[in-house]
Amino acid sequence: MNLGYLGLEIRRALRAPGTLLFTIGFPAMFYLLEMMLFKDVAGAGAGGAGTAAADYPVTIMVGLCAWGVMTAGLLIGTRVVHERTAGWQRQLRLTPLSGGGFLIGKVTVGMAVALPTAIVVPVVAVLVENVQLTPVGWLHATLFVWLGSLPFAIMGLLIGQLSNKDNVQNFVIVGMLLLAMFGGLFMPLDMLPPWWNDLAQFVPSYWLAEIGRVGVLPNYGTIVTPALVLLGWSVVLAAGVVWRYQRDSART
Amino acid sequence: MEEVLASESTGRRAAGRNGAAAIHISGLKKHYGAVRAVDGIDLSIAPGEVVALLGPNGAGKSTAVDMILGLTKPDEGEVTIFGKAPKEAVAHGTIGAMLQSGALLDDATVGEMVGMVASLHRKPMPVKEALRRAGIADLVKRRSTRLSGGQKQRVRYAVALVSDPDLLILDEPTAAMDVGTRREFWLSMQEFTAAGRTVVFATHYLEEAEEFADRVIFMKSGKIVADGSVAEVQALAAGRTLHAKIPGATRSEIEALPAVADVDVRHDKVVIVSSSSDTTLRALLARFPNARDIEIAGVSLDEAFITLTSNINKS
Repeated sequence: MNLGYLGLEIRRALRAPGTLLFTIGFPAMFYLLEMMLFKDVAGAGAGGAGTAAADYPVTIMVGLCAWGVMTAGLLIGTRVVHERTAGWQRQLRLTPLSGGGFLIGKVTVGMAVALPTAIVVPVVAVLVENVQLTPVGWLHATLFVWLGSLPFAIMGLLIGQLSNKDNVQNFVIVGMLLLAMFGGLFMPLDMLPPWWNDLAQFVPSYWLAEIGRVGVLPNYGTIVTPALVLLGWSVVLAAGVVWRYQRDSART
Repeated sequence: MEEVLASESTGRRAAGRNGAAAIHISGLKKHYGAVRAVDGIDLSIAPGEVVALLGPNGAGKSTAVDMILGLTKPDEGEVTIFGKAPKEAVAHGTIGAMLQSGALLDDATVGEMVGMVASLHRKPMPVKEALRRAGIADLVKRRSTRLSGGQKQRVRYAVALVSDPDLLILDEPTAAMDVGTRREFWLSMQEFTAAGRTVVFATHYLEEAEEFADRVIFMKSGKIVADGSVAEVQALAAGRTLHAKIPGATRSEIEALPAVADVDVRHDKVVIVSSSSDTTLRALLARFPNARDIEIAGVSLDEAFITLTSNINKS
């Protein structure tokens, strides 16, 4: 594998009409929308600085950043299904590209496509809500959240390998919505009941948002736990992808 | 034609590296549920041979090809490519394959697709060279959705060619090509085989096998039922089907006529597959003067297939 191959894959991903809409358009739009909704809560702020409500411009920014990079990863699924249906994956299996190489290539492309989200949403937050963070805070909210999209890119790939042309959209969209809702990406978690927060711990997207939150909220814990949880998800999902690639010779 | 054969035999003399067969298959079996897709194949193809693989749909050709390429694991038996396992041969770029239908990306251009595959191989030929050889140098920037059926086939050919393989496997390469394009395609194939490289192609066109292969393998129900030279195929191409109404004729009487390969008798309707229709017809008219409504037609592939099988069984 080389840069030529990756470059071409990235070009193809950006050509797909849904890609930029889901990775940049929707997260930025939702941010503006949610700020309109929660502005009053934040402003009337059951009281100024230090409260959860006062942090909404930051926590919602992190949540929607996480949502965008996660969706970019899951969208890999749709592209992989098209490649499989077209017989392109059979063709790839006739090249020296190994199961591991295939995995790394697809995931790299998925994450490359996710990168603009991790830039655009914070830029909107700064411009509209004048969000201010320490350099370390920005590092968490952008670069680390982006890196945290790894397991979701692998998940997208696995969805692509296990579904077909008719149901892949359902898997991607439903999966994306469930992960966003139960991981607490759309709504500030403190607005949701406690059991919701408990449940969220089992959803990988919760830990993706945590990566951002540990950097932007004071006294909130360290990045170690969320990073380890996401790494664990990555390893398990990657094993599934490699296993599937080696066996998938289906002519469709 | 003579030229092709000459260059092929030169190739065969050049022989393989380390003396191994280009393809060696022993005791190969694969079943899907109760269906025995490939039911015990033994085969050796020498470097430089150009081999046509024929057989009706469902004969097991595609399954056999998949196992040669290492895409499907055999239940039993072994395949080696130049003495190596298929997967290893694929990793070295020793095998190039042109898959049946599909295998193109809707959202990429011709140059991009061939370039992508080239970038994955260790020692590819330049993309331009592959496109030129496939006769599509002018289509580099064309999206695959805007290609004709024949053009798509040539893109697949370029994809197979770009790793600069020693062995090329083609699954129905000229399907969807018109006569002219087919001609051009085989001309570019000659450029490939002239260097002593090995080609195995599955086809439905008997005349292609006849003209471009120096060996023909027939498969049926997962088995190789005939494995013959081009000369045998050419003899078979002279075969004809003879239809007639002959009241009172029995099967054994018809079978006793000269040059008869296969017979079907239903009431007074008789269908004869003959390797020499003139000979058969003369004998038939002498033996059954009451024969009427006689029609003679060229053989279809299925009938040809039967003729060849029975010829080889008899010899």
